[in-house]
Parts: sequence; C-alpha cells; structure tokens
Amino acid sequence: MSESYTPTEMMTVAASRALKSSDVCFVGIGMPSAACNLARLTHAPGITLIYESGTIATKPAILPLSIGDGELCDTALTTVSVPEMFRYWLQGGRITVGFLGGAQIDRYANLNTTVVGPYHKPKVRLPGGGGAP
Amino acid sequence: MSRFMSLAEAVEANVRDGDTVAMEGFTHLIPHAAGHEVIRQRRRHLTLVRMTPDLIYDQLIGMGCVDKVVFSWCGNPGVGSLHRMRDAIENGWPQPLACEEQSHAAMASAYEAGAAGLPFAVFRGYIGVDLPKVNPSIRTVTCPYSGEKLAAVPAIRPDVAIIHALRADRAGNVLLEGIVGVQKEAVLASKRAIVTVEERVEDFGARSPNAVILPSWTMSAIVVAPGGAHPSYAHGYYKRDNAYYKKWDGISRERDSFLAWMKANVLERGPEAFAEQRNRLNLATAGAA
Repeated sequence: MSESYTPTEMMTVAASRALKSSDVCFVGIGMPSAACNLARLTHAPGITLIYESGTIATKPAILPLSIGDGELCDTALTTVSVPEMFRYWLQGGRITVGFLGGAQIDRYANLNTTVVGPYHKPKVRLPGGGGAP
Repeated sequence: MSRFMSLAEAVEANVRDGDTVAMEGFTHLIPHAAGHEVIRQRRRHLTLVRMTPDLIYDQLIGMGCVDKVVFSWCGNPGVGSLHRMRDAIENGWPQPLACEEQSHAAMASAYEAGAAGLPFAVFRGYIGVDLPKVNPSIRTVTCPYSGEKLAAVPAIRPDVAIIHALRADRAGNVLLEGIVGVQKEAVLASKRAIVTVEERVEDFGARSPNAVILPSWTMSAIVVAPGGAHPSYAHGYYKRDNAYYKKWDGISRERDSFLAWMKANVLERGPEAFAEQRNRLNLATAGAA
C-alpha cells in the first residue's frame, strides 16, 4: 500500500468527507465526480448524485470521463432533458449542494473558469462557466 | 416534410455560407459525420451555436469554416482544452473567432424560448457573474408581480439545426432516447433541420409513450449515417470512444498535425469512415462481454 499521496488526492478525499448521505448533489466532472462517488461508496451511501447531462440519482460503477458518459444514463433512476435539468431541478432548488471545479479562486471565493488575461485578448482561454452561472 | 437523402445532399440543400447553425448533442449523439460533411463542402462564415463546443467545433474552427461561436462551455470533456478553438481566439488562426459566451442555464432556456416562438428567455441566474460585462445580450427584466430582477437572454433561432438520433421509421419520424440533451428544442427552434440516424426501421415498434420523437414534418432532411456520432456515442448502438478523445489532444495541439489528420480522415473520406468505427466499437463491446 502506497503511503504517499498527491495534493489532488488529498483535496478529493477531504471534499468527499464534507458530503452527507442525505445530500442531493449537483456534480461537476473530474475531481468533484471522483469525490462524490467516493462519498457514495463509503460514508454517504444514500447521497443522490445529479449531473447536468440530465441524469438523476446515478450510481456509476466506472468513473465517467465526460459529464454525459453512457454509464451515467445506464445507472440513473431517470434521465431528463437538459432544459428540464436546469429549470426544474437546479433553478427549482431541488439540490442541497453543488460541487464544481474551477481554474482559479480568490480570497473572497470568487471562481474563475473563463480566461486568464484580458477577456478580448486572453493569455489563456479556459472552458467557461458551463453549468455554474 | 422531411425526406431521406444522402449526407452530401442534405448539407448541400440546407447549410449555406453565413448561416447560423446549431449542432447539438450533450456528450451523447453529437453529429460528427454531418460536421465533417460541412467541412468537406467548405462552408464559410458560419455562426456556430452549441452549449458544449467540443471536437466537432474544434475541427470546423480549425478548418476555417467559422466566424463566430455562441457557447457556454468549450473543452474536450475530461481531457483538457480545445487547441484549435484556443488558437483561433488567442492567435487568430486560421482566422479570428468572435465569441458570444453564455451559461448552460441561459442557452437551454434560450433554445426553449426559440422552440416556443418567444423573443427571449427569463431565468434566475448570472448572479454575481462578470459575463454580462462582456456579453451585452445578457440583460435583466423585472418581474411584474414581485419586482424581482431576473436574467434575460434572446431566444436562439438558428437557420439550421443538425442533430444525430437513434433511428427513423419509414415515414421519416425520428426517435431519441438516453441523454436527450437539448436536441428537440434545437430542432423546433430552427428554420431547417438535418437529422442523421443510426438506422432506418419499418416501424418503431414497442417503445415508451414518452420517448422523444420528432415527427417528420418538423425536419428538412433525414440521413441514414451509421456511426455518425462517433467518437461520441449512440445509446444501445456503440459506446463513447474515450480513447479517441484523449488522442485528439495530441493531434490538435499543433497546426500541422491537425491539418494532416483532417486531410487523411475528413477531406479524403466520407460517411463510410463512421460506419467502420461503429463496427469496430461494436466488436470491441462484444469481445468484452
């Protein structure tokens, strides 16, 4: 058994421990997805995971690479359209916690997922806000 | 009324230089074969609308088909950046690319408004966000009942929607299941629609009465294009080719390797390349089972 760990692994485990079995969690892809499924498979077996692709109460056996892998749909309680997801389930307040990633965070907890540098002449173009705003 | 035609005929008849085109499919059912045909027909000055520009828009942008992208998240899901889209934004190669950036909630609502024939969408979002400073289409309206300020964005009304579905019946009706995304809204919001499908069947047979079905008279052209979503996937037909998404990162990183790949795999090929991928992935699935 390895005794070393990366900061990313520590962050993922620490975040996982902040989730409760009673949570309904809106899950971002990547580290958030890994942390949420770690919670579901350890201390929070009752947690409901919702991905923005429309899959509700999904229980993937394999961690998805994308937000809409077939595994998420195949193991979901139900799959709704994307407009329904954003209107009824997210805007409608049916989640208890949202768990997303970001490229940068400042001391006031503002997130940046858009650009580094000026918006119209960016040094680095990041993916953008997606499901967050 | 839709009619069956070849992919080349469908794009020739429905996609014009300067059009606003929405190719939708949320990870699942992305219309890659149709996107390649648009590249082969060398369409220019397109405005491309899509919630999640991924490999197909990276390819269209890198091949110089696109003047503007309207989007809410651009990336190679789970892998990293879209190098061709970034090169266009950061360095203007092969040509400058204008961006209109929204959130998923905004775009999903804007497609719904388009499908409903409404001029704009209203929703509770963009709270504490800087995007309205760089996107003047993001505005606010005041609720006439409570006085609450809500976000507003204009309806999306593309010239043409392009989607990939599971199957069509003999009459040209189309069925989608699984992660259905925003495709129904995109088709109903557009003036014209091209739908590629995995197969044509005599009759849909037993199905859920709530399956997503687009009646033939809501679309312009139906194209039988097996494997047409590859490297995305088609529920019940083939899996997402995650290895291909990872490989694209290296192919697209440099302009030369990108252009060489596009020549060999898009310009000099046709829809049959997608059928080959479907067969390969089907075999892989059967081998693993």
